[in-house]
Amino acid sequence: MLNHPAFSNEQEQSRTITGLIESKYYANDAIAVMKVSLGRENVKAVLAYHSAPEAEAPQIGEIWTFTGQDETHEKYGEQLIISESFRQHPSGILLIKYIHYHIPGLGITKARRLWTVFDEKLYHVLDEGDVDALIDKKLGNLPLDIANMAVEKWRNNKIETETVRFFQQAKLSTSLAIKSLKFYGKDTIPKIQENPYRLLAFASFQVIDKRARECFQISMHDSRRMNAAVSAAVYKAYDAGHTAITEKDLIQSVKLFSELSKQEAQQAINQAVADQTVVVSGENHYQGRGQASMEKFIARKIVRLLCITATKQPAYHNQKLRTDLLAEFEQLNDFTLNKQQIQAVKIALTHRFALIQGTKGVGKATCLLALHHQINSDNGITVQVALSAHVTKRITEVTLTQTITIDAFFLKVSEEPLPDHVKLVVAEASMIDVPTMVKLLRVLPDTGSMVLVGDSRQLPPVGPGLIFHTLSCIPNIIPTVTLTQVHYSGIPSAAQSIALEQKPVVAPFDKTLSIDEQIGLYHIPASPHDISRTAVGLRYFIRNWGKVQIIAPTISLCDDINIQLHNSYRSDNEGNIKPLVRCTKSIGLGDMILCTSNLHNKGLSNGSLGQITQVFESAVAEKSPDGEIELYYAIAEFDGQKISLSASDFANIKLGYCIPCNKAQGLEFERVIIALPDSTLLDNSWIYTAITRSKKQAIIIGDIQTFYDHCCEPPTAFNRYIALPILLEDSLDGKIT
Amino acid sequence: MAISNQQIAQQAVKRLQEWIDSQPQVPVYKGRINKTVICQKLNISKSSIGSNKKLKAMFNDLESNITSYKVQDIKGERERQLQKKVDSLEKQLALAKKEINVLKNRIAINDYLLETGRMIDA
Repeated sequence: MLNHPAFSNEQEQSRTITGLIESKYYANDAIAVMKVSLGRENVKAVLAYHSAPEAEAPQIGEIWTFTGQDETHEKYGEQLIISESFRQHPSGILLIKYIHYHIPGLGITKARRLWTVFDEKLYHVLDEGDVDALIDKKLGNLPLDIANMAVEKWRNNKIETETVRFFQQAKLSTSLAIKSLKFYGKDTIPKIQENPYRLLAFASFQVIDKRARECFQISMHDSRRMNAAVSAAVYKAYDAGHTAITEKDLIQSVKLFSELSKQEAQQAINQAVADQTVVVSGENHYQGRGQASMEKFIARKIVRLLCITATKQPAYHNQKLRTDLLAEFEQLNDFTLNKQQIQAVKIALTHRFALIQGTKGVGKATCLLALHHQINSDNGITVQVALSAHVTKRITEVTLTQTITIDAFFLKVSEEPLPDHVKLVVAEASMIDVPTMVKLLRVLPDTGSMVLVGDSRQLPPVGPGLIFHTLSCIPNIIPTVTLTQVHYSGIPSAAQSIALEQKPVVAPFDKTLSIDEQIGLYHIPASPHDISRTAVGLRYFIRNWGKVQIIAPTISLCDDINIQLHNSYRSDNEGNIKPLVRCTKSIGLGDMILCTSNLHNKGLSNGSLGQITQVFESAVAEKSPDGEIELYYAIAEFDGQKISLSASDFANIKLGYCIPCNKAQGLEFERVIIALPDSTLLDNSWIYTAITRSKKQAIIIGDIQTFYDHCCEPPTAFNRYIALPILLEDSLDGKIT
Repeated sequence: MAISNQQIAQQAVKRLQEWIDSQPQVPVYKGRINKTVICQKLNISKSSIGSNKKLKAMFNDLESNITSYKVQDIKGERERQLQKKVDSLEKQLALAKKEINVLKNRIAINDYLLETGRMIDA
């Protein structure tokens, strides 16, 4: 690609053309080779994005002006190498092609006829939206619906083109223009002229501030700038997981963004409060308007559910724990629920909003089994959801109740709303962030009920807020049962010690023990430099001991371990080199892989783990589940399902021998190897989550003292600033209605 | 007591005469008097015009002197009313479309907030 003429530095006389993009010969992230129609002739134009950094990808059917140099390539022939590009509103005879491309039902003959009839006046007709002229039998002779569509498309294109041009002149990207257009429509230009910091919703403060000051002459102390600095500080906190921010942190952050003094930052905050850009939540805490609205919604809905329980209940929710069904359940399953478990089932049955929490091995799944038994026997309706596909599979297995992903659940309720008296059970609820909770409560009818089940000692959600962890700490408001009775020794016992911020019992790893004796928590000492090598060696040593997963705190350590394991498995038992997947650099046959995004069309979610089972010598064209033809390079097995993977899928797939702890949340393996360097990412919750991913054995590699130190400290998850408890109390006091 | 056909014919003539005497707005259709509407109004069977010579003569007389009466073009009136209704419905539709756009925009803003945590400043 570097030899392509588009990357040439030769200087020749340039020319400018304006034409319609008819088709693309070739396009990728770096280059686009296009057929550009100038009306009567076509030009092959080559746009290399590095030579035109502000350039956006031209789309087929759009009109663009290109400036560049003509070159004759020995293989590709004559072509225009573009140095400058911008999108245009159609002009001259190009209009014919433009309307033919953009208005379905208007063929090239009809489009030409319009030009013959109206000539240059066609612009005026479209600008003025003169539908009468377009449908007049002696003039345009178009059907009414096509004439209306033509006027609308023309108007939208004009607004879009003018807006993109305005943004380009302000040295702002086209993607910013498109995002702004989505919300401000025809008012985009005046809105941005009035306050360029409105763009803070789409880009960083630094980017917008630079352009606002350079192109819109906004002064350092302009109230719009100061207000934006406050919003930027709130957004920064939100991106770090906080839904609220302390006054001290807010002042500090505003100072950093705006380069204002402390006093000026305080003034900016006061002004932002007066303008309701931020709101005061509790003592010395602030929230962005959006963050406050989300948490207020959650608080209001929970209180509404709880208060209806106290006053007016539908018959179903008044259901008491049926002891006959409980006895039946215990007899069927041949075990007895302990008092805590019975209490958990009871609150889940009798309250409209309830929470069951507990560490690993305390029998949360058993409670759900018993709960479903009670509800199903009474013909009640439950829907059980969990965040990701791999978690739902495990929850379905342990609770014997179909569990669907939250994404699939939202899709389902968009087609058919939940029934009135549904009980929505959310498993692994510690992973639920604020936006997901808003969406769940939004689709839950006021007559429905919700049970959250999870473990508050686990890592906080990847997204913002701290729903489950917070609600589990206020049993005076939220009906909560904490299960503490551990049912198994080994990992559950170690997990409970860590949850209590105590040192767990750790044994030195002894490779001479039989597999059956390899149960519980073990340790292999290793210096920081030796951790990855030791983890790789151990993974190889125990490769036949069932499902094994390595977990590490940093991406770089994960990558290091992954590439070492990939290289060590490069040849098969007979010494033959295993083939690599053609569209990747380091994934080959037999490799463990991790999906890093939600690939809904493939049924894969962020965190799905699989293994490459077949690699194609050359790409195979097949219909994708969406019905489009895709080129597949390999087949992988995810949870027993074979899935064909394309090049775009591989953009979201990494080696998965070693994964970060947040990707392992909700998963379980027989054995877990924990690569443990000293890292700022480590804390009690991280250690707890990593260890509790194992059913039988967890082996820690690293410094044991570092491990003990983190076990004995309080989890940093609770360091997130949130306003939910205050808002719940306010809501209960009737301050929020 | 049953009324004879003759009496019915006489009553019809009487009703038509009284109506003509009242200087009414005469319904017309395509420039001619609209006998159907007049007969409906006066409860006269339209077929009786053919059999009742007096009635026929009165209608012919009315037809030839139509210029001396105020006329009411029923179809034109209906068209005007329909147009009025169309205008009103078009206004309602435009308002509803505007409202839908406002709501769609609000949903998009809300979805963007949930997705990014950023508020779109209206």
